[in-house]
Amino acid sequence: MESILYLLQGFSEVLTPFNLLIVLLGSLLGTVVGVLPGLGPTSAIAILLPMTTILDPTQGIMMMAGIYYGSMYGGSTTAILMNIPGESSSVPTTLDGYPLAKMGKGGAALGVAAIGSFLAGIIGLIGLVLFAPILADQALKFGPPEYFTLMLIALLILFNLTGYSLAKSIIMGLFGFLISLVGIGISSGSPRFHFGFDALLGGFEMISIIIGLFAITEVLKGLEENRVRIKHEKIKNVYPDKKDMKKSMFPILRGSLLGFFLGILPGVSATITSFLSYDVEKKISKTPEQFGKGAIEGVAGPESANNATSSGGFIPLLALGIPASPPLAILLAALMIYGLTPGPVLFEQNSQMVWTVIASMFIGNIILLILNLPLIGLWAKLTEVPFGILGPIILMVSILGAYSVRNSMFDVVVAIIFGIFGYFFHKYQWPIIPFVLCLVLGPKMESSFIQSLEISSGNWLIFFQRPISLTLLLLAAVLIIVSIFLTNRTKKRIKQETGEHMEF
Amino acid sequence: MGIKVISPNRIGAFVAIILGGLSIFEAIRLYPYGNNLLTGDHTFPGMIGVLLILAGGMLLFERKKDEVVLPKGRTAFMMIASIGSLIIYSLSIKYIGYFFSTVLAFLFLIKIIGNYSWIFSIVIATVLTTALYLLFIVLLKTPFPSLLF
Repeated sequence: MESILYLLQGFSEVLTPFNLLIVLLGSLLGTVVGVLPGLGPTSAIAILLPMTTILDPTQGIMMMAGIYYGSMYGGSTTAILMNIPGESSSVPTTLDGYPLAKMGKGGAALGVAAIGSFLAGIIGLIGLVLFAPILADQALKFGPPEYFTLMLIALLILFNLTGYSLAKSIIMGLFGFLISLVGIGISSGSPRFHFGFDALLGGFEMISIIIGLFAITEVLKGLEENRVRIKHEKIKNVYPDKKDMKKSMFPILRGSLLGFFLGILPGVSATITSFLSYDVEKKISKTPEQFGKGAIEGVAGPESANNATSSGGFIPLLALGIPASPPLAILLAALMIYGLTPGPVLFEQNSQMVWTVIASMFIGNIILLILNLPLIGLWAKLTEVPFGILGPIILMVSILGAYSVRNSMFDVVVAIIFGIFGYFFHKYQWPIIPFVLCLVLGPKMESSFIQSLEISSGNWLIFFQRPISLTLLLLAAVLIIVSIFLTNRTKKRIKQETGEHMEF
Repeated sequence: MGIKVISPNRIGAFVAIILGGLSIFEAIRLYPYGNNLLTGDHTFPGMIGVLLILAGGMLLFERKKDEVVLPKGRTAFMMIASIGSLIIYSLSIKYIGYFFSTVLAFLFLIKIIGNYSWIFSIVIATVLTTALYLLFIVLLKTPFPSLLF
């Protein structure tokens, strides 16, 4: 009940002309970047993050959240019209979305995707309102040992989740940690890993690294693939007819619930839930032979599951400060840039801000639904922007964005170097998700670890002796088994549908 | 008789082991500043160093699976030239200011990636530079080095 009152208060904060403009701008910008072929939510947030720094924290986070779900929606446009999934979680959408587009029903598929995304987003947000404060309240009982255990478990599960070799995932995670350690040490204040270079004393700016890994790398990948103007299928009517809606209602509902409830578990990504939803729909359909040839249920279910999982990811992010995916890791980094401490304390100290942001997500979803259906034609046109113009724009915005965070040319060089690294990581299948998550969580994990051992006077058993920490470890054992099973299943499905390995 | 080339995975494994060694070296350097073995600025570098060496060793014994083909010819040129132009841009902005260096960088990138005519490339480069000027300098107030603009 208390949550509802806080939420209503949040609505009263959001419903001002300027805040509404921020939400509108965030959703539109996110959709624009998400629509561009090859760019997904992570690149969208990385490229646009420096531009939100002019705003106050609440408005900045509201805009980032808008960019996040706007780009999620934008990704489905390229998946359906051009058979290009922005992220691996959009692969199931291409399976029936593109055949529908070829049949001249691309508009209806996009319409169903928009409605599915909206309903799933709202279900996810209701879950966020109900569960996040309870979780945050419980998490207040957590001390440094519990936090360390929780972060370690989240990372271990995510290492398994990348779809590539476990040894490579572990090395990439450790590399992320190593980079996060560069700078001034937290205990003694002495510089670490600076090797005599003054520029390294301040550490690496994580936004520059993320811009390099996601935006610059994306352009290099585009150049290699020789991306030119890709023709998309023509759009006729954007509104799904009664028959399509009737067919889609239950898949949307099933996809949303499956996506949300599985998605709040660490180690279950949007790719896993969207593939699961696709397979569930195919299994229970009366016409399974239609799947892969243009079944609207094959778009409705996975799109809803994808969005519900993404909304569900806000629960561990806001309540525990633990991101479940790379875009959420960047959002976590954004919260830190704004001087906020993600986790249970956020609900205590910045309650008004948290509820305003949550309220803005409801409004953002409504804005997206209202705008996206009539604007589908415009989004489709955007996919025609030639790479010869788009590539240079992404590169230059990346460089200027990297500079603008700390007004430092060193950060620009870092972005370029990590852009090159990112390309080779992609080429040689070194997963970047563990790297990004460890980079963001590294400092927090180090401080929790050191505090824990200071509490216990150097006794390692503290992580097993405290009841909450032990419970978390036992739960983790179960989760890891579930995660290994689901990951292997999804790996096989991706290979089956795309013929290649993808990071998810 | 071809030359036996070391596999990319092995190179990665060796890099991980070297980074691990470097991290342990740094941990040893930092150890005197800490309170004890497990609580200090050396603790994480030490642990990460050991784990990197172990994971690198693990990767050494993994079987190589996929062959990777690196781009050649014009594609490779475009990629190297794009990165090169970004590096030159980040160095030159200090000397020739935001506006001219950005126009030149845009022009070069549009020309090599898009292969458009000079006139079109110049117009687009100028329009985009102005748009980014308005965004980053006017709106975001980023203090870029400037000469005339």
